[in-house]
Amino acid sequence: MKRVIVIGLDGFEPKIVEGLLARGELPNLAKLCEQGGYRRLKTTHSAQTPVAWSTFSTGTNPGGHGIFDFLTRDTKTYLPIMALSRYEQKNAFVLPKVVNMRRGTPFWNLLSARDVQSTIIRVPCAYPPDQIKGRMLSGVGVPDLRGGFGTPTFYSSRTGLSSEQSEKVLTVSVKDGKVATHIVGPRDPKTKSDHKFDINIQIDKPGNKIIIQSQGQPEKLEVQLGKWSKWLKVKFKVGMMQSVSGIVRFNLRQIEPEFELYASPVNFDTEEPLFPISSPQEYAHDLAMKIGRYYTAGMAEDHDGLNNERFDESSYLDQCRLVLRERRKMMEFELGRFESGFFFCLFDTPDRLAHMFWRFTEPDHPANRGVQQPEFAQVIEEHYRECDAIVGEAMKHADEDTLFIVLSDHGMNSFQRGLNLNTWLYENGFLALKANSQPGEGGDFFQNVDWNQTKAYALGLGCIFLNMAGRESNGILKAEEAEPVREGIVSGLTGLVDSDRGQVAVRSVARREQVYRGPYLSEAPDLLVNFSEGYRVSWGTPLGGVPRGLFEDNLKKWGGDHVIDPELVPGVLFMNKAFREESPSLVDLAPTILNALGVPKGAEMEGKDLLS
Amino acid sequence: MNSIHEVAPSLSRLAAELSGTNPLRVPEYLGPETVMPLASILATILGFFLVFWRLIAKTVKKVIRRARGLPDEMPPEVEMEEAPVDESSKTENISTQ
Repeated sequence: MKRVIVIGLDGFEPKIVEGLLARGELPNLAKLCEQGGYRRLKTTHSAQTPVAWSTFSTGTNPGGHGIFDFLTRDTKTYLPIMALSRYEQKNAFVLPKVVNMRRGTPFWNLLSARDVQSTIIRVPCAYPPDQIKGRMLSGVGVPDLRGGFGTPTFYSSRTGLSSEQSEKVLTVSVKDGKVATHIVGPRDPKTKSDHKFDINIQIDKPGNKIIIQSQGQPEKLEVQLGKWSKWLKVKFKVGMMQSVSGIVRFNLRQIEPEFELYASPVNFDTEEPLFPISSPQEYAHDLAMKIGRYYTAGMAEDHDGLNNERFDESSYLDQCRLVLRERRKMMEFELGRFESGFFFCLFDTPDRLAHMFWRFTEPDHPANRGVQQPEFAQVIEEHYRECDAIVGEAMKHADEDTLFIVLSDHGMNSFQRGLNLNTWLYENGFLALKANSQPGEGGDFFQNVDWNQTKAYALGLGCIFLNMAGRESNGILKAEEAEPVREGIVSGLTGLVDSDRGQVAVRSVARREQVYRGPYLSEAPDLLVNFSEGYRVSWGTPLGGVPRGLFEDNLKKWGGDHVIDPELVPGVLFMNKAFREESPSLVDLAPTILNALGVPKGAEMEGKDLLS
Repeated sequence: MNSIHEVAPSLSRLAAELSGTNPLRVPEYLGPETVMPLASILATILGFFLVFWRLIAKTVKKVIRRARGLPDEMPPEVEMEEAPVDESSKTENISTQ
């Protein structure tokens, strides 16, 4: 095979796809199905974007690449930390550098070793990008300028407005139709304060718009009411002769009676990214010069803005379309000059859109709060049709000598009820709180947890860690005490019933050695909770909260999720060549692609060539 | 016997000729007192380039573009409004099924 083209559709749900295929509404995917085949694709434990795509790239289970969740914990402080990458600065004379925590060998490294070119657009867990022969643009894992998954800012003239999840709120005052404020930049590690970029806003009430004046680029940026603005390039002075530039978009919510403006997280500048986001480094810049500025943050879609109700569904939908169009442009531009080797482009919007619009497909979803909005009930299916058109566009570049693959990393399901895992651990004697503390009093970050009496704690999306002596800083469990504690948690949680609904919330709990093997097994959570459909770990759990009560309704607009039992959320796999159809798995993709391009699979790869 | 006046020009001519073949001619001798300041100057220039090479490259590029009468390099503007969906092509796509 001369070429392999892979189109990734994050979170593309098989049940929706199969329904649309049956109705003949995905003509291009149907064509692929006829040419080669279609199967559901086995995903990873747990079924999360960074975990699953790392398995796609390395051909190993998570024990072989070390990515188990978006989050992990610092064993010294028990605080949650980003699991995908970390920053290192050996001393004050050396520049800080970012280190990718995805280990293992991605198959494009093996291709490069054999001089096979690759073009890889927005692959997750490749930040910093892998040094390959060809071009790579990093995807999920690239932070915003503040170093997180994305911190937007909401400007409001209303007083007493408090910050919701992952956002900054700035109270502004309108004087003579003008607002003087700033864009929030990176934190200063010494002073812990935020760097600022001043902006002046001129309100044009008759025109239903504002003009943002600044020393950025452009100097005057127009923002229409209810619309997304173009990019504003800003520069934060962070020290003597040091500045950091970024790009930001705005969405004007309201001019009167209150002024309300949303600013997206500040993305790395496409022309001068703070840390490398592409290989070769200048590729990010060159691509921007061809297709225009683009989202660089791994999580491009502003789901926090909608979740925190800073803008409405229509605006979120508009933004998802912007991201989709931008990605399509990247794909078309690169496919236009793709001659041989490996091509990959990931479209994240099917996942981010379904997270936020799933609830409209379920009239009884608690997040609807009894209000039905039928105009959004078909949004996911419409988006799937758009994705099908994109696949059709890419298929034009596939000839007889091309292996063409469309796949998703996992599916999507409902998230109606959340389980407070730490509260369950507390109620069952595995987690202890400090004297006179009760669940619901401490907030996140295990504030009231008594580590000297705690045997296990939950963090991330369904992960439970034991408080092991010699591993955790205040660990109390000796090696021989670990298994009885694990057994207690497994037997207690398996089949746990949500008494309010009379439904089983937890199907099973997996011990790590049951689902993982490999060199990074010791970094894995000790237990993984496999939730039933409709359930997930609660919003209060991932960052170490111990909320009151066991179960709670999910009232957030993020009403769909996939971090449940992986058996319930497989992905999809379409290929234009007939392939082995018995239970294909994500680990099979790397050997299949390598073999198609005449390169032997890596020694640690676990899967099999699906074409043989 | 030649007088000193007659010999002196010959000696100076000899010295001049010898100096042409002498490998230790003064201007070409690079001792520590010469090399160290030179190395220091070179290191300064190199360090300056290492720190500011992006800025320098950008400025040089900008100057060349301006000299050629070209505008500054900027990413193309992206249209914010989506083009209306072509309903006929949508139907056509579905009917090919």
